[in-house]
Amino acid sequence: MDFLQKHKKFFIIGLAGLSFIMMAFTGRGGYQQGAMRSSVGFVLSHGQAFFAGIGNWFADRWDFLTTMNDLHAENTRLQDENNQMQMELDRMLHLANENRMLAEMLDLHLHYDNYTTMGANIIAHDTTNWYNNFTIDRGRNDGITVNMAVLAPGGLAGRISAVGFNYAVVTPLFEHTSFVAGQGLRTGDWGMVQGDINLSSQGLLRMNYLGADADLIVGDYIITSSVSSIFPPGIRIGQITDIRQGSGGWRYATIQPAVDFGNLSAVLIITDNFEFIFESEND
Amino acid sequence: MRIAIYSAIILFNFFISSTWMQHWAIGGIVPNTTLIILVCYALLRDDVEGAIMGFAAGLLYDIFFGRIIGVSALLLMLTGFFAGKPFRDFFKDNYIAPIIMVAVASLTYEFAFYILNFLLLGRTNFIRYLGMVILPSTAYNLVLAIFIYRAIYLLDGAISKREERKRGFMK
Repeated sequence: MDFLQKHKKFFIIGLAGLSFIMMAFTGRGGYQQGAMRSSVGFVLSHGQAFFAGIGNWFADRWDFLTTMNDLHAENTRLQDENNQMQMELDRMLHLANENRMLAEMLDLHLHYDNYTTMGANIIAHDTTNWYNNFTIDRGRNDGITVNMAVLAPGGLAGRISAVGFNYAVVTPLFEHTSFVAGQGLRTGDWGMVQGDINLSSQGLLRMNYLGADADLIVGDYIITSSVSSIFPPGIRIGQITDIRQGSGGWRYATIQPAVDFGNLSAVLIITDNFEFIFESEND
Repeated sequence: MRIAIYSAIILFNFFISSTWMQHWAIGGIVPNTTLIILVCYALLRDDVEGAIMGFAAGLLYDIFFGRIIGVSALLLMLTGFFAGKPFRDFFKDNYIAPIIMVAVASLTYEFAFYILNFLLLGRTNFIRYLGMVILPSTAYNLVLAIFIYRAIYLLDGAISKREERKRGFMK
């Protein structure tokens, strides 16, 4: 320590130089997966899984204690809802069959009929207030690649933005670096759903670039659009809560996401890569 | 001995802040315990130790979450270094110096983080970020700083005493 204290100017400048060298090497492109990240990430994600396990155990107990009284009422409500859903599902299956039959007649190719999905637990969150990315306990090892769609109860939660050997980083919808092409379920009007730091603190998303003729109203459901280059179409994003005049002649809508991000502990990943399918079918 | 304890503190802090801290967020804002810890060490020990801790903790964050490796390492290293500068002689069981220093360090660090990660991407609405993120997190940091400073003060006292005793035997 005395030695460092004596030469501290050189030491600090040396560390700063080292930082700049690392920045220069990793600055190009997005999140790169070098040997250092792989090995350190491998070790760290195990530690995080351990701590997350303890944390979730306590959170579960706490949840159980605080919600015990409401469980019966909720159970009745869910059963009612389930019955209704079952009826709806039968109707939908019927329509889907009809749709498939008609599509076959017209020789259309339905490439998003079935998704294969994989469950994953959330193990850690970004520690700053600037980013909201979280990591899950599945990675390259399990066949996860960048830009796969991440679902949660309710609908779309985000996308995979980086992959390690045994973990992956998810960028949630309300992150300000997240962009999703969405459309109204009722009218098909298109808009860009993105995170916004003002709205995300209220748990809302922003749908930008609504055209002047867009016929969207409050209460409309928004789903992923078929123009999206990475997401499979038809996944629910949320519901419009407000439509306003933005700058530049565009209107924008605020959207209540279908997923409750506050209590998320597990997600579902669609392991078909739609990015790839679109590219291969274009040529 | 010191190196082992410092590494343990940094690792433990990384795990806690990336897993449990989310349950303790107030209005979506989590405190920056890494910053508090290294400011406390910079005050109690010296600027070089603050810089080393900042560099290590920042590197850990960059490797796991960061897009570019080195940004947080550089920022936290400089924060730890300069936090050890102004208060050379003060009563170490007094809370005023650490509270002032944590406030100044939080504001500067978050501001620099905003410039490097947001302003350069063209997100110029500084006032909004100031109100939404920088000020609330600084306030949260201040409250936590009191407890963390006390804990580190006690821990560091115990280590120093042990080291002194060892040195005494060696002579």
